[in-house]
Amino acid sequence: MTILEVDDLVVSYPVRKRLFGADELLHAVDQVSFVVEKGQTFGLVGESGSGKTSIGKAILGLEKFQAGRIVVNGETLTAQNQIRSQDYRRNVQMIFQNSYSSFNPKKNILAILTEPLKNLTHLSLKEQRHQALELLDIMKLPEQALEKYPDEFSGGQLQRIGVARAVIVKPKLVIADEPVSALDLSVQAEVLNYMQAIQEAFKMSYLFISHDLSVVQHMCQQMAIMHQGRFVELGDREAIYQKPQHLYTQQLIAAIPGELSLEETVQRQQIFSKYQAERGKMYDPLGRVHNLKAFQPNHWVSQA
Amino acid sequence: MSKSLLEVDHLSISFWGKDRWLKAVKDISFTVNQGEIVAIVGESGSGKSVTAEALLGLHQPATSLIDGRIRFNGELVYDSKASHLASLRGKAIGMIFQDALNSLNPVFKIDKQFIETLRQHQKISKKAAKALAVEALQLCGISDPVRILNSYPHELSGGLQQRVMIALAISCQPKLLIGDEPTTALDVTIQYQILTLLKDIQAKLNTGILLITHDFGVVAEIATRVIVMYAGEIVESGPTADILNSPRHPYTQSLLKSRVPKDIQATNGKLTTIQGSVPSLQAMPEDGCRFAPRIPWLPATAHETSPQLHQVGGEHWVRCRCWEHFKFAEELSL
Repeated sequence: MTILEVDDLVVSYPVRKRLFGADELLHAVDQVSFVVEKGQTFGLVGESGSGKTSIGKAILGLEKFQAGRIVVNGETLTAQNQIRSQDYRRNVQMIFQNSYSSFNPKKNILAILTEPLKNLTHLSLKEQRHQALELLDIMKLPEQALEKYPDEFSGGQLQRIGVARAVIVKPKLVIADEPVSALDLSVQAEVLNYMQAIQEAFKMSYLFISHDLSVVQHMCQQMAIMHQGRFVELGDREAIYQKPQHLYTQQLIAAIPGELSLEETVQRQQIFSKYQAERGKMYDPLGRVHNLKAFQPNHWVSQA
Repeated sequence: MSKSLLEVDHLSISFWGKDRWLKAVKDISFTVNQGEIVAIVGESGSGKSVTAEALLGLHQPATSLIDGRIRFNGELVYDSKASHLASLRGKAIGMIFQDALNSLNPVFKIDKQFIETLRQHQKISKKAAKALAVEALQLCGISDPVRILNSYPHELSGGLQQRVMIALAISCQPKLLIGDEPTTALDVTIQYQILTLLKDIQAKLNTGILLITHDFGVVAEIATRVIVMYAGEIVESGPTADILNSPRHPYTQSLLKSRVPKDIQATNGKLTTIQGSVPSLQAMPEDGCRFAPRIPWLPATAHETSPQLHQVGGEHWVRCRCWEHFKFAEELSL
C-alpha cells in the first residue's frame, strides 16, 4: 500500500521580484517523483542546497509548491489546492534535527508529548497520559520522566522524545530531517535503534532526509540521490549503495572517509578524476540534471 | 626520529563552578611531532575542545585554572607562573574552526582580513601581505586567488570559506595547526577535498597538525596517531592502525562498534549503544575508572582504584586494567 506519492513536484523560490513580467525563479525542487510504501523508509540523500529539505517542507505544508501533486494516504494535494485536512495534518508528522530547541523549556515531558494529541484528537487526559506512557515504555524511560523538564535529559533521550512526540498521534508518515546529524556516535546509534523499534510497533513510514549516506542506507529500503533539485539516481538501497550507476553517486560514495586498501584508494582517485572530467555531461543544455531513465527494475538513473 | 613540536605535560583544566573548581580535563600528557597528524577523538563533554582552547591560551584566567606545562619547539611556553601562549597564537600555532562563516569577518573583504592577520605578526607592507595571501590561497587549491581576495565571505561557498580560513591559518607559516572539527559542517565531497588539502600542507610545509574530531572515518583518513578522550581523561592512545584495528579500552571498543556498518548486509540490525551518558562536570567522580558506570556488568574488582595508563605494545597505551576482562553485554548473554 502506498502512503506517499509525489508526482513531478516543483518548489521554487523567487530570486528577484520584477515589477513587470514574471519573477525570476530558483527551482529548489524540479519535477521530482517518488513513492513511499507503508511501513517502509525512503532515504533522501544530497549535499546542502540540493533541495532535500524543501521536499519535506512541501509535504508538511511549511512551503507552498508550484506544480505537481502530493498524495498522502489517498488525500491529493495539487498546486492549486494545498489546503490540508485535519486527517492529513495528523497523518504527516516531523522529527527535527535539534529536539531540545523544538521543545518548550517551561513544559514538562507529559505536556510536550501530548501536545499533538490535544491539537489533533479528542482523547481524554487519562487516555493521553496512557499513550505517553506506552511510548516511554519503548524508550525504556520510567513513568517519573513525564513530570521532568527538557533540561533534565541527555541529548539522546531528548531526540528520542522528539521521535515519540512525532508518532504519538499514530501518523502514517514521519518526515525526519537530519534526525541524528547533531548527535554523538553512540547516541546516534541509540536514536536510530529507537526509530526502528517504533517503526515496528506503529508500522508507519519514514521519509529520512540526511546528507550522511551510510546512515541513510542503514535505515531505508528505497533511496534517492539528489543534486540541484533533481534526482540523479533512485531505487533500491542495495542497487544504489552497491552498484551506483551515476558518476555523481559514485563520487559521493567514494568520498566517505575511512580506512582504504591500496586498491580502493586507486579506485577512488579514478572516480574523482573521471568526475572532474565528465561532470559537465550530467546536465542538459538548460543546466538541469537529465531525466531519470529505467536502468533495471527498481533502479532509475539520470541519463541523456 | 622527528623532532617533537608540542609537548603537553600533566595538563589539567578546571573551571569555577558555583562554589568549587570543576575539573574538565584531568592530567593529560601528549606530544605532537613535526609533520605529524595527531587526532583527539571523543564525544561531547570529553574535554577535547577545552584542551585545544587551552593550547591557544584562550581561557579566561579569572574563571579557569590551568595546571601543568606546555612546551613548544623545545621552549617552555606555559607553566603555573608564566604564559607565552598568546604570543604564539596565530603566528606559530594556527587555528582552524568548525564554522568558517562565523570566524571570518562579514563586513570586510577577504584581502583585508589577510592583511590584518599578516601585519599583526610581521612587519610587511600591504602589498607584500597581499602577495603572501595569494600564495597561501594557491597552496590551498584556489585557482583564482585575486577574485577570492576581492570577495566578501558570504559570496563564497562553504568549501571555499573553509579553504580561505585554512589559507589564513597557514599564511603566517605556523609550525602547528590546530583544527577543531574542521570538516564536520561540510558535505562529504568537500570534506574529502579539505582532508586532502590538510595532508598536502603537512607534506609540503612539514606542519604538525592536531585534529579534534569525533569521526573515526576522518581519523582513518589522515591521522598518524590517535588519542581517545573520555570524561576529561586520555583513555587510550596509539598509532591509528592499532587503535582502529585492535582497540583495547572498553570505551574505544564500544565507540567503534556503535558506528553504522559500512557493509550493506549487516543492516536493519540493531546498532550497539553505550548505556548511560557522559557524566556532567558537577558529577565527575574523583577516583576510579570513569567509564565503569557505563559497563555495569563488569565487577568492581575488574577496575583499578586509580587507573593508570599502561603500555600494551609499541606506542599503544590504555588506561585501567578493565579492558582485560571486558566483553560486550550481547556477547555475555549468548
